[in-house]
Amino acid sequence: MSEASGLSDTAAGHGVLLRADALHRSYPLPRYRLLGPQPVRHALRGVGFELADGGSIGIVGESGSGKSTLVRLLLALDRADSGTVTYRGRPVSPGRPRTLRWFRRDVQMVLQDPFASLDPRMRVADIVAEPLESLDVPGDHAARVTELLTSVGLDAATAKSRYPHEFSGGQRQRIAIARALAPAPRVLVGDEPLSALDVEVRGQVMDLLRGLATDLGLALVLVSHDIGAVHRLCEQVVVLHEGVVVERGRTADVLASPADPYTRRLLAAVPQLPDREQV
Amino acid sequence: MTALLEIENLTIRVAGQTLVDDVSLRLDVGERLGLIGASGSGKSLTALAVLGLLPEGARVTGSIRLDGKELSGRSDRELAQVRGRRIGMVFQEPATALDPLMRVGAQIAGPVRRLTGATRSAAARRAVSLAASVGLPDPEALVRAYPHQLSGGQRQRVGIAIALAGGPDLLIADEPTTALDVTVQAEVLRLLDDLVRERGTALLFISHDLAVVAQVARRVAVLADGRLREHGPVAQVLHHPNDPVTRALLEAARRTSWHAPAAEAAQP
Repeated sequence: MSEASGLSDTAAGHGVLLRADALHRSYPLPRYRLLGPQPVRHALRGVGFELADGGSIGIVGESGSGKSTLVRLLLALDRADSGTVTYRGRPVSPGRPRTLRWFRRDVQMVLQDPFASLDPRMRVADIVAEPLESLDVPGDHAARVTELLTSVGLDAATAKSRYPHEFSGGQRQRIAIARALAPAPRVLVGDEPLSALDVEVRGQVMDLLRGLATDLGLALVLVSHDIGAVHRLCEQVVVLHEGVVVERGRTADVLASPADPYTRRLLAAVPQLPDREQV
Repeated sequence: MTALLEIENLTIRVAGQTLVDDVSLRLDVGERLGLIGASGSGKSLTALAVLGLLPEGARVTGSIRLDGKELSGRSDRELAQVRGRRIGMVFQEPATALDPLMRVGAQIAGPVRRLTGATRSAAARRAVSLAASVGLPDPEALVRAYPHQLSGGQRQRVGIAIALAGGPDLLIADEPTTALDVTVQAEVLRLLDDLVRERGTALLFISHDLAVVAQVARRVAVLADGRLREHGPVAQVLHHPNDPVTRALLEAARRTSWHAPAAEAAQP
């Protein structure tokens, strides 16, 4: 991940993979009055960023910041009111599965809750193979499943024929990651992928994501309220507050000297373990 | 001196499995103890045992004493006298802990009436003052709102107001800030800290997050797989952990968290 040291690399020809440009998205709110304008909530108000090939970017924000809306737009699950999402220069927006196949092969996601995101009635082998089938990925799918399960640190031989409920939270998140990696994507979008995990397991899954990103040259978008995760996994950071990007830059720089008042407030609120020395 | 709460050799078995194994803890008047552990460590069950709210079929042995009086084995009716009046409880999920169909004020006033015998109008006034004391904005208007009209942080403040309604000597908070945003978490932790300090209420604070516990507790106990692994002052446990489980937890917390550089500089 050291290659992706930010904007300079982008300029130097690493190439922009995923790009969001001036995204606006609002939702109608319930009407409490018969007359007058329809009340709306502006979830995103002109959000943009670039993700370089092999780069990593953290989107940090709290509830109501527009994080979830942004994820939906980035994955072409929702349409922006204005602004564009482009992947390798091609605009992406919701459409028929066939027309988005090229995009889905390249951009995959891991969700927060490993208990809810895996189909409980499917065996692990079928869960992991599912994107291979639905995206028409050529090759030996069974061999690929074995390779994927091994790459996320599971014992493929025993895991394949089991069901999700037979696994712990951390193992399930590994299965979800294996599934996301199945079509050999270039970009992994994680929506709070570590939040539901106990701290020790969180560390292990963090290591796994970092290792995979390095080994596979995978670009990472991590949407999270967890400053620790963004600090450990992302070269770049974007701070989202009430639908607006209030600060952006190299993660190390932003965390060391936040410029925006909201970023400062956010960082000041992060609970701190007492220093080792200070006893 | 008699401890406010004394748990001795508490063992809880559910369906043949031992989920809490020989746990002993002591909490003095006005003291703040953090109970740390991963999911499944038995920390919530321990709290529920104190309140006599364990799921049916749970087998409990050992002793739980409040002011030296045995709670374990008492009838639900007797325990109802303890819950709310002597021990208040704040739950993790403020959205589900409140009744969605009931105005916030009535949810605070209900326990006030039940626990203090106040009249309807006195309880309603007390609800407003409790809402004010937990820092809810415009408390007089807010008591007429329904839970869905409040933010997550405001709902948790309502939860704290309800827990304080009976003027308890002990507040048990089970992951009270886990569902909240980090800036809101900081506010709620500060509020809890102020409230227990002002009122001299003892606090049993349950969390998986060491940094959060370090902020509110003076002593910590570490649970793993139902067993008490380590127990002592925060500084000692966090800086010189004796137990491998504590060490692993700390190591993982340090490895996955962000350590504010400004905090270091600010320390004298």
